[in-house]
Amino acid sequence: MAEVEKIKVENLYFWYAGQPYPDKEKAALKGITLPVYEKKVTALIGPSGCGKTTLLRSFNRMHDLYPGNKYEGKILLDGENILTDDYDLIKLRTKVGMVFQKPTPFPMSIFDNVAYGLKLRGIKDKSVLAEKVEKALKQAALWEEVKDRLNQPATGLSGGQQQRLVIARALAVEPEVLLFDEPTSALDPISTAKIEELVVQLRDSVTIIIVTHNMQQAARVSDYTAFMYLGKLIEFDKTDIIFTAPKEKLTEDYITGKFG
Amino acid sequence: MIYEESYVKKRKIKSFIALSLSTLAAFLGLFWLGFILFDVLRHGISGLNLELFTEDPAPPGIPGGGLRHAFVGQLEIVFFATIIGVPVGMLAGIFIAEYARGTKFAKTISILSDIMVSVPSIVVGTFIYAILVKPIGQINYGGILAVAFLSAISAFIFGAVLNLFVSKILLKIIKITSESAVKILNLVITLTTVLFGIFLFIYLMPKLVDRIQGFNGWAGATALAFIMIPVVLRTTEDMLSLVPWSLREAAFALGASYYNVIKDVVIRASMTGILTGVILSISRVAGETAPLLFTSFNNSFFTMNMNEPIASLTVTIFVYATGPYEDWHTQAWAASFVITFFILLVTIVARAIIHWRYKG
Repeated sequence: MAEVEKIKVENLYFWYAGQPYPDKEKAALKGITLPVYEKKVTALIGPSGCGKTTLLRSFNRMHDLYPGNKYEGKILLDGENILTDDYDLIKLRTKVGMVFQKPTPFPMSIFDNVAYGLKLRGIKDKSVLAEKVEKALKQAALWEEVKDRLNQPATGLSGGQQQRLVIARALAVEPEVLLFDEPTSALDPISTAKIEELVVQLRDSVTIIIVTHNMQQAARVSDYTAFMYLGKLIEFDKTDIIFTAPKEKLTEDYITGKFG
Repeated sequence: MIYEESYVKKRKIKSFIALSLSTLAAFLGLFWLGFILFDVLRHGISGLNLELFTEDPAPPGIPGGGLRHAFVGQLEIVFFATIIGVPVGMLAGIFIAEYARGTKFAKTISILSDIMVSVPSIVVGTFIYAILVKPIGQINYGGILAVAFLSAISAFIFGAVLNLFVSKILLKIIKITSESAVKILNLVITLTTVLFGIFLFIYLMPKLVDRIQGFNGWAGATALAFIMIPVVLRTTEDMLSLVPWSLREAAFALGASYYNVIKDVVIRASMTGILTGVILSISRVAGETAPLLFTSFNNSFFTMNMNEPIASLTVTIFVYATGPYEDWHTQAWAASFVITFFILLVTIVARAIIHWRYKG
């Protein structure tokens, strides 16, 4: 079946504040070109400092929160370049949700956490909110555990539950793309397994990009894998090809644990 | 094994000496604190009765009478100081910790308010005396400045309330979607605020010149507010800085505007800390005498009119304690007892809130 390109990264360069813009040799991202297919899981792997998180945070322009960061190149979301100055960031972040490394529950109740994004979008009807919150919590496989304590503070949940809550919060606003920044690195193995299972299930409804340090995890959950090294995209292909027959020597060395 | 017995012994002795000295120093400090509290308690409790709170002073020589005028005046001054000081301090703290984070401007304000915190309160008193007491009652440069200052603060509060009203109530009834309409609305709010300020200035000018002569309660409240502002500002700034960035990022990633991030997430996460700062700043100004001497001065009669000189507990204690009558001394002790234990209580409550909130 033909795969639709949801996002297309074209020759993307990125400089953090303080990096010598416009010296392309010293950019944090050096000319990345990468397709992201709709309703597939794309994993970004590579050693620490290779730029995978930097790339991920470009997809919802998280870098814009800090002054002095600069982009060059294009990221096309549904054919529209999101890196232009007049692209509305609130609209972008509505389409592209994000889950961070450490769970980030807001200091409010479980219900209010999930409902927060909906309230930001002007949904006030209590029954609609309740329905959407339930749906999101069910999608994140958390409903059964929290349905009797929706009004309790979210900080009382365990780390793994908090991370699923954050996923539910992101899912509640029905994003088209969901970014995961090492979502399991702060979790125990059982919670990790639950999150991975979730990622695989979510593939049916959203496009997922996941950054991971754990290569087994990339192999388990992703359809496509991009290997990055020193700010460059070394290889991008179907996950089974990357893990069984990589074309680049560097990819093979990394996957077999010779460095990284 | 490297083990020299004599050397280890020497080390133990050193350790013992250091421990004894620091314990002694701690007890020395605690002793005087306990002594003061005990003395205030011992003298104060005998003068404590219901009349103290319900009756105004009797003429000297006649037994009975109380300090109702001072209690009421004190509460009034501190109340208005809080009304002026807390919003300004909190908003300024939010501004420098969030919107202006990391800029030179924010750092300068931060350092300036650190200095302001330690400015002797009598200096604040004389400053307010110069702008809100001396020039008042006559039309001159200082008087205009004073009225302008009052109008600006009132207009500021008016603008904040108007903004809140529009965003909370009006926008719920009328739906506005286009960005230029929002800009126009903002402009209208700003203009209304400025007009309100100008109107107030014109309206207040003759009123103040007529009504207020010299020492007045507003000046006292403003002086206390001046002491509160830097305290509240710094606490707010510190508490907001403690909120991890990841929390803000998470809210931004959901498509929240900076205003929403601050209002819904950052403030909520640091609310207890900010509230504690507010409570502590109230207890700080509740015990101030020096800034009131030059501003609200004192009044031996009951009044609730802030346009007149108004009595406060602290100044009354000063006057009564240095006065010639035995009755006055007893009442001064009783008032000291009430205010000391009020501040102690407030401080303990604030600490308890911190403890309860951050025990985890």
